[in-house]
Amino acid sequence: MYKNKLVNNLKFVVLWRNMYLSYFQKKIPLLFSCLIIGGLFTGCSDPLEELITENTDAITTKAIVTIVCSDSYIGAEINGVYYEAYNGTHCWAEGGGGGGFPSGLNAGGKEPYIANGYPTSQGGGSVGFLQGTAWTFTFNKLKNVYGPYSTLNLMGKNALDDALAIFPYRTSQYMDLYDKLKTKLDQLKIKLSFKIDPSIPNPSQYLTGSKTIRFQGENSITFDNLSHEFVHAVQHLCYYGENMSTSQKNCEFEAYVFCDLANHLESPDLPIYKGLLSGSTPGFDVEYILWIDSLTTMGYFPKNQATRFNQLCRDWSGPGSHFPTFTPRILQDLFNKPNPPYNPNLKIMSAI
Amino acid sequence: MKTILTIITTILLSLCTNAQESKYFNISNNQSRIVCSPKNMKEPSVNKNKGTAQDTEFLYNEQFFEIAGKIFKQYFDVEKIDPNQFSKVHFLFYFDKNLHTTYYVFTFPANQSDKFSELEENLYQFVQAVLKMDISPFVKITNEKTFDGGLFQLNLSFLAKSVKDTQIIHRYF
Repeated sequence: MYKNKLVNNLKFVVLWRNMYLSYFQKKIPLLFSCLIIGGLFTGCSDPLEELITENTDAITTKAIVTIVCSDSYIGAEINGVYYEAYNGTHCWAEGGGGGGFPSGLNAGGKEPYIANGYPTSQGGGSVGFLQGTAWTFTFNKLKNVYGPYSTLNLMGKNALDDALAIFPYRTSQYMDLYDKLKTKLDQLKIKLSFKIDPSIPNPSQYLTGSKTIRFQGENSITFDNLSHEFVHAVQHLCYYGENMSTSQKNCEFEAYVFCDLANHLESPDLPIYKGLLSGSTPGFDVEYILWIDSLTTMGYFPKNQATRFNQLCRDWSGPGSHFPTFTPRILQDLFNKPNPPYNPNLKIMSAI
Repeated sequence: MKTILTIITTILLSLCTNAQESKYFNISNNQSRIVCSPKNMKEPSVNKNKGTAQDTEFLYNEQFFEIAGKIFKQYFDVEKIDPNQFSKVHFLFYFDKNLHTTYYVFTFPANQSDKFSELEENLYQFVQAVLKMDISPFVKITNEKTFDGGLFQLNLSFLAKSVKDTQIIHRYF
């Protein structure tokens, strides 16, 4: 401790000596000029003071990092006409990182530009770049489900918080699903683990052994993926337990049907049916659409639809073993009565 | 016996006369929807032994729908149409392992068969334009080993709404 103090004092002396020499070597002509001109005019600034100010500024002024941004576009050419859509603005610190775009994207032939200030968000609204003193981020929605073995970074936590915040605003079955999961986790006095694993084959995955939800990347942490994995967590913790392994295909299919049914009850004209995977035949796909259509018209999942569920599941191209007499209990429980037509004005905000 | 035969013939005849016909598409009628497929394209076969599942992922859905909306605008009079008239008009486009779109099928509400007749030429032109679209920037193959093709979906009502209100795309993607 003492030694360090001494060394620091020595450094200080050396610094001032150097500054003094530098002053006389470089500033003598200026000093003479000042003396001559100063005799004629008043108001010549003190060069020593100027130098001290210069050094003080160099030490105390924050380094200014220039953030460079470039807009990217994605497009397609059809019949000689090029259609394009804006795909976000990518920013990076000048001299570091870079504005690399994934393949298939281009910067629209536009020059990068200097961002007017720091980018404050990357999609979540509350995440910003660290600037100056450390910022504190609070993710209120996480506390009910986020376990201590989770390893999400700031962006991941923010995306998960955003995804959880959507549950109360969608079809009531989503909120019922969430409540079921939360109640069970409270009973068992456990929480789920959330992790990123770029090596997984799908955007998200639920592991029964460690009760972990894994996402392929931060971008995969969306309401769609999260709600699908929550169905699996509820299947595991509230309904089928370890039997899930003998009816993996049925459980996977039930998760897709749950989301498609919930989504189409909200609106009959959604852009996609999630249960249609690559590898199915057009014949199956149309049957699936018509079935979801008939269920949404009825507004619920009647118990006698279990047979149809198993028929379609058998022909579905999803992974795993198929159990022919599986009872889709989540569908029967959570869609057990006709759903009233969706009315966004009747939605009541409830805090998760 | 004669009476039974007459009844059966009458029923068959009435079914035939009510069946939707089209210059552009093969039509099969379901209770709730008219199912249309191309007249001269081969239905993709599936190698079930591969156990394919979600071996492709559609990236940039938001931008894809925005571009599809622009194509839609070219073939339908956006100013005049009511998006709800396309309710439940849902397209499935199938692509092969080279990411060439090779087949499609779409559904149309059966109770709007007259509307279908009115729009079928526009629908056909729209389909032809989508078939020509290069989808490679939007598709990520997640499992090269099992990948043998895939599909993408377009809902016409959703497209029509998104053309009028671009915010609708952001709500779902």
